[in-house]
Amino acid sequence: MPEPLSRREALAAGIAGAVALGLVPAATAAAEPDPGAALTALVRAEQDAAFVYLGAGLGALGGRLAGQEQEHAKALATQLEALGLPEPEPVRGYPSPSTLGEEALAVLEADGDAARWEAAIAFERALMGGCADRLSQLDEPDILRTVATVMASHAQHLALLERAAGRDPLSSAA
Amino acid sequence: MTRRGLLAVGAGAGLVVAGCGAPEDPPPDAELLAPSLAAALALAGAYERAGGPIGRTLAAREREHADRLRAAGARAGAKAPAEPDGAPLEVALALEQAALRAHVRAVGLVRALPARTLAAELLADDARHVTVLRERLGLAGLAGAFPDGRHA
Repeated sequence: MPEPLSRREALAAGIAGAVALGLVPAATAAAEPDPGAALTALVRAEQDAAFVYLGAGLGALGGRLAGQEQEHAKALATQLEALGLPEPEPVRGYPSPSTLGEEALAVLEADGDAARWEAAIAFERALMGGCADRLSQLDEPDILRTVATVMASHAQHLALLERAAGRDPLSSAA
Repeated sequence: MTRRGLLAVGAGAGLVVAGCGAPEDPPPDAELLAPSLAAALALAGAYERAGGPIGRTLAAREREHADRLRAAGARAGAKAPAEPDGAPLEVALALEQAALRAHVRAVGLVRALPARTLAAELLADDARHVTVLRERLGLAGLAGAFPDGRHA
């Protein structure tokens, strides 16, 4: 017996059918918000961040940040499961550019403490940007709140990393 | 009554109910952003009273938040969050927590994408303020993975 379609699959199938019938222009269908894809990307980003901070050599702060990224990944994965989608597999072993984003790799490969703090600052900004960019893809209030709160947590990480890098967090906005 | 007539009455009743608005319908965006505006104004006042470089910097930041909320159509006049007794920066920290809760509520319910983005940006900026205040007060900079106090 075939498995029932998930909400996302049903939506995608409906759009594909509508496109095939010429009821919806393909460009409109391509721009359709995809909460499942957005959440999957965010879970993966948080998993990557936990992996990066565990191996980045940022001392106690790195360990604290890794723990919080894992909590973010778990909260987002719970929302993903509610949409009927599986949690993506976390990174295992030393990553390559094909499995980890440019900003994440830069933290792991930074040469010296100063470069490592600066790379981590850029990484946190990228994580915040990832959350902000996906707000338009989501519509469920609980999911929106979770994503926005994760974004705010990254803003806090940014403040601590700026302080560690010798900058004043009050001199810049999130 | 015929079957068709019964269906027509049922459909009409449905329209009447729909016209009244479902009980779970969120209020308009202007209303949803109103507590955020009230919190930003309360924070601006608290930081002005605190004074010093941190007070002046964060008062200016909160006035900017209020300006952005007004520009987004936030209704003025919502009840300000309660201010506890304590040292000026402790009061500001409590107000920042209230502001976080207001922004989190708004971000999940506002309909317009610019209003949603604004609420998320203010949430992030106020979360930074919380970290700075906590450090200044000798507390750990990070209270948890979710700045609004929720638990995963």
